[in-house]
Amino acid sequence: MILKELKCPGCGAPIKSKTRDMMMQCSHCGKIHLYTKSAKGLNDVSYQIVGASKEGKDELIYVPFWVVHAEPVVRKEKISGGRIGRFIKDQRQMRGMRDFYVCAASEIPEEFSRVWNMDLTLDQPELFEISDFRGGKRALMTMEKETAGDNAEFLFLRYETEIPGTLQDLDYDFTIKTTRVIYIPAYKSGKKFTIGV
Amino acid sequence: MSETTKLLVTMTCPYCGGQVLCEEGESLAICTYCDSVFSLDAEEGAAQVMYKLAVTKDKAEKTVRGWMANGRKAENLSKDAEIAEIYPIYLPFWRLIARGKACVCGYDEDKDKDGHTRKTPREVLINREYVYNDIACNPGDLGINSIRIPNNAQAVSFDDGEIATFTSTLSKDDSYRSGCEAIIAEAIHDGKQSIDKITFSKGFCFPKGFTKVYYPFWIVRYTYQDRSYFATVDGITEEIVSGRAPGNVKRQGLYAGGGGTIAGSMAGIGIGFVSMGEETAGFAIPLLFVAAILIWYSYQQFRYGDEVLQGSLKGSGIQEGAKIGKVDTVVTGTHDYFS
Repeated sequence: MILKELKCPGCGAPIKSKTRDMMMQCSHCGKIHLYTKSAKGLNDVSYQIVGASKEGKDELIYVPFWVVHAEPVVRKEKISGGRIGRFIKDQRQMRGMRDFYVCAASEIPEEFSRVWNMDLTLDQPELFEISDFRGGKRALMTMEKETAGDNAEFLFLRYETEIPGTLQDLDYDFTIKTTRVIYIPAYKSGKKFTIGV
Repeated sequence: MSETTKLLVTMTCPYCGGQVLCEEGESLAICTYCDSVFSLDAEEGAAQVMYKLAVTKDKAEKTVRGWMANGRKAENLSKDAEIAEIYPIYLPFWRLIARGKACVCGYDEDKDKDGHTRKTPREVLINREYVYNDIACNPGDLGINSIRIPNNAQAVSFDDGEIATFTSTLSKDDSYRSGCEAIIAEAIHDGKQSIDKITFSKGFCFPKGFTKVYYPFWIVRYTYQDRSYFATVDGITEEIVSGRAPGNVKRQGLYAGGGGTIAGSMAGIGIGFVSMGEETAGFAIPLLFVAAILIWYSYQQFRYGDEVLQGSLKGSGIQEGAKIGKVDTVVTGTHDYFS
């Protein structure tokens, strides 16, 4: 194995870091770049930082999400039961073009990230962008862009199984249009995480 | 432990001489002293790691002698076998750690009290970590296809000048593809375990680490009554991984004679019950059934009992010991959903 030093594609300065983050910040010019395994280097990346719409007293962290803009098209579906349950609960359908939110930080326990992914994808919230991290800590991005699409598709399948009725057959296409990075605020209190939007 | 234990290799920072920790699956490495960040550039596009041989030659021979003394092998094999050669070798394996996810749907079938078939719809989501290991070379007659790396194994950076090994014949891309396919198949298989009939399934593989591993073994070749046999010993756990040994001739004879006699007697009694009339004929069926199984089993032991095989060896012989599968499931850290 050979060690190849990473340099900032913007200013050429060597990258220094204490943590393995796929979103590496240059300590010289301050720009954040995305590390891609396949290219074994840093690339320019555009990302959004979302402001907190809920106030919290606990530690503020910004959690990276891959936002997969995709369109699930269901050609045929067979569900056993659950029609009344769906009607009563006015169950939302995860169909048509939408943003699928996939938490990309492994430090967020799955019990929280699973709920956040589902709620954000169903709610499609209007997020207001801010210009910097405003004193909050940036959580490490650990998920590669290449796996974000499959994670979004699994999220779609998970929703189909969790709503009332028992899925028996599904013939569908899952077409991915774009994938981008968004940092969403969350509050950390001990082992508990609360999303800030 | 929610995740698979990762291999850890230490390298030296080319700038400050500090320690650079390289973890399995991570393509980024950081110097713990000067904070320089490196991408790991492996020659074959995947990190290569070798494990330290922890078992001595004497221990390997002792293990094989102990193996010879147990099971269905020739009597006095341990005493009479002559060791022809013992040597260490490193075999290359491709190792993929990945999270396997699957959505499996279907239904359970059972009969109600009126004898009607009842279908209960079921859904299962599997979300588990899996480890895939596949030998990267042609192992010849060694009968080794996979490994299970113990927690106490000590990984070091690979240096092909130091070790005797086989040339890799399985490409990285082919193995990566096979590994992903095997993990998806295993995740779907895990989902199918609790459903009688499947109507829909879809699986995904999310790779976390892909490494070429060089794992140590001792090859012990020996002769017994002028015929050559062998055994391979795990170079870290000291366990027998594969081997070929002469069978027990007395045991073969016992099965041919004793098994045949007992089965024949049972069959004779069964036929006697039938000839006694309809009232006793019912006793004959289980007797004849057991006799048939006994004859089949005795014949297998007689026919193939001249050789004992362990591991993934091909050929005729009685199989002993468990084979190591290519995919292992990490039971902890699962997020499965059943309904």
